[in-house]
Amino acid sequence: MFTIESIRQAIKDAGVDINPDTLPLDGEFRNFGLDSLDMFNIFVEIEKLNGSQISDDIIGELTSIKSIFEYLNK
Amino acid sequence: MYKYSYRPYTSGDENSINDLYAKITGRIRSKAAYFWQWQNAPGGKGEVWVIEAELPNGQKMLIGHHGIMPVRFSYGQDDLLFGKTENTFVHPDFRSKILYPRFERRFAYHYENRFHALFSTLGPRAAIRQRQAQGYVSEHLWKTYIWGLRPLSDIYYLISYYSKRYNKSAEMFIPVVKNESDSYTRLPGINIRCYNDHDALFIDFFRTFWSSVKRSYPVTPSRYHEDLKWRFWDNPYISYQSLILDSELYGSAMAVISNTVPGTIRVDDFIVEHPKSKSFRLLFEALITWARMHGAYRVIFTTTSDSVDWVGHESLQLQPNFSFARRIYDIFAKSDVRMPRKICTNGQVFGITCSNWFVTSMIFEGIS
Repeated sequence: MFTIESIRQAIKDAGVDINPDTLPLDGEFRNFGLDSLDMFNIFVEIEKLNGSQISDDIIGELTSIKSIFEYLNK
Repeated sequence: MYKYSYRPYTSGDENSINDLYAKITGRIRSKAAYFWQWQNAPGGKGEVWVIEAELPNGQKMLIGHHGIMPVRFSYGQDDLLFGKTENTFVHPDFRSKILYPRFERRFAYHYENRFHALFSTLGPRAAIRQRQAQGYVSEHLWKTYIWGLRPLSDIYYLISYYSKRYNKSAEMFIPVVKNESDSYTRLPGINIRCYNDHDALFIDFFRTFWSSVKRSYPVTPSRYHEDLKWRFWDNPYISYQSLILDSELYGSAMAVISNTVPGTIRVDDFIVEHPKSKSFRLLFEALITWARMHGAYRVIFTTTSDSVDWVGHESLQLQPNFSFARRIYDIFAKSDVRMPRKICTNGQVFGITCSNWFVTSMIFEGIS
């Protein structure tokens, strides 16, 4: 079971210019100034957390902490 | 939800690539221009990778493109192959749906071993940031030198700029550059011959000059005959004039110039026989004198900060310069446009680094 805290930690580990502790669960990342390179770095960490690659088809749908949480725990 | 896939270019893709290119840039590129750029360069066929989305009806739509143009370079006596990133784009409707950096990382895995180094020229900040994430180093700045050749050069430039913007002819108000071929100009101590694209192809000097001078140069694009032919004389976008400067005291030089803005000459390339002596400065001054004699009011030369360090700053501090606007701009404006570079594993054995290159506008394709 993946927790919200572990996802926030992965975002911190990505080194992007945002404090994930202040990100609303359903806040869209792009609305907080994160670009595709930031998202790339975040998903590198999320995939490490998940232990496997996330498909290109899915990744575009994972636009918030909540959507990542639901995907990892499905 | 779409399904995404990627693959290398296959014959026939150029139509949809050009369609996407037109959508993103607003420029219409012909098939011939596409093949010139991506299939016919002396360095070989380009590395072209496309990203596709499978639509609900099962059809595939091209939504992304990543290209590496092979550009021949030299380092002293060594001939090398560099890759230039070009035409990185994603369809606007899909930019938020895919993570483009993931695709580029996969593409790079496939092509990087082909090249000794990779570089980008200019591009949107996001693209430059992508490169840095891929290990490119962006230490060196682009520098553009502008010389006003006559009083009122700034006024002439303003007239030319606004006439182009509003699609009016300005030729009755400003000096125009004479376009000529097989002409001969004599200056004190220096003779200058000028050829158009068609005639330059047959001049022996351009077949032998680069081989005789390249060992004096650091990392720099090759100027063998095939390179000059492809880059300048076969260029589908711009016509050039190729000049040979001969001086008993300072040696020879080669210059390639273009004139896309009325009255302005851009020096797209400049190579001298003895680059690390005052001959660079004196032969460049001769070129500027030639330009003034042939009607230009302005000369532009674009290079990088390490290129200027290498030839010597004094080589380009040329007078007179009647452009007051330029001098004010140089004092107050801080350019931060950089040239990202990356040395590949294959290039490391040649001792090349990301610094100490000599680069001119030759590494653009002349697409304005």
